[in-house]
Amino acid sequence: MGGVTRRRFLQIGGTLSASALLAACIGGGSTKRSRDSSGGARGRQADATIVRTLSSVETAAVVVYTRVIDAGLLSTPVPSELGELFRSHHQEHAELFRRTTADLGGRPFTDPNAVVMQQLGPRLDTLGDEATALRVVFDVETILADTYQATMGTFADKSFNVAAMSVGGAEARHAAAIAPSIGLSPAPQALASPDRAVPAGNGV
Amino acid sequence: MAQTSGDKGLQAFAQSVELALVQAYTEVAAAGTITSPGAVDATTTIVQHHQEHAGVLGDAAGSRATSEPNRRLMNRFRADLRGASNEAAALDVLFRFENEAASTYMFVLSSLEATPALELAASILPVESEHAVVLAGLAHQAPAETFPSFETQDQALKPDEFPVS
Repeated sequence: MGGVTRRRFLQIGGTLSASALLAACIGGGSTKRSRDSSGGARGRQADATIVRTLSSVETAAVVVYTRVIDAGLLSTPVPSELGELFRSHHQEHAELFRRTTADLGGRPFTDPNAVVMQQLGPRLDTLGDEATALRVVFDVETILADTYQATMGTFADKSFNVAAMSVGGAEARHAAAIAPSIGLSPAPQALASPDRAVPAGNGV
Repeated sequence: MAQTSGDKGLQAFAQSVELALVQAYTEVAAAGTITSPGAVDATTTIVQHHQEHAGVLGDAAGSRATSEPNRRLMNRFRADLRGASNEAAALDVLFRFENEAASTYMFVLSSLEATPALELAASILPVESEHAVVLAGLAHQAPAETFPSFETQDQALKPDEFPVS
């Protein structure tokens, strides 16, 4: 976890709600509103289901990147460097959402999302070159970006909206970086649509 | 001066930012600073996106919509672009504008209430992030500046500083 993020965690650790923790982690936001905006026990339970799903899709991304990196398929300099960086981001995101799940009173989910792995797993077994590997990592980044976007308005605690998109925007950057190398536009449309989102609770 | 409180006020503010971005790209194009085909294609696409963002935000803002670029922001954009005398420098400045735009939507999301307003902002934010990546590639930015692990509000443009004209 990066220095600023860790410091922000440490500064407020244990004194605020999970949402405030997450909001403070991503920077700039007020933590005042989060103290009383968790939606009660039922709201926290619903939010924990969403956050567990988010940690599961991040873990799936870590699995995908690890498979293509370990297979030596990201061999040219830029994809190799970015692959390592993006995997570290997904590890960071997964850890954050596991901690948040626990803070919400839920059981952290540590496995890769089953829906994502059903979609991408068979392709991981037949990867042959860098182009096919990049296509798989592009797909997982797109699924993640769409999944975060699809959470808008579904959280009981509204401060999670900004937290989710702080990660969703980062995933969109990853996808944009990969897209040209597989012949796709890095910014294909003016308005992003969450077509490939994993619904909350699916695959966990 | 238009009020920027409430969802519609925030949408009008975001619209004024988008219109300022459209104006900035238009002025850069008119200056002839960007000439390489890849950069011309990219910036042409990006300005079309910002125009579309302004349109949908204006529709959402209803009676609060504005037709003017954010004046103070436009002044700042012009000052930033004044020193960009070649393509690389201009792309670097535009890259920073896109990062600020993404950060601004993080700020806006932290204040919006209604789900449709949240959904609209969340459909724009990733596109600004994509723009930043495109420009970073053209400007040869370092990955650390281009790929933060989290989008933040640290570079957000805010209505207190840049009120809707």
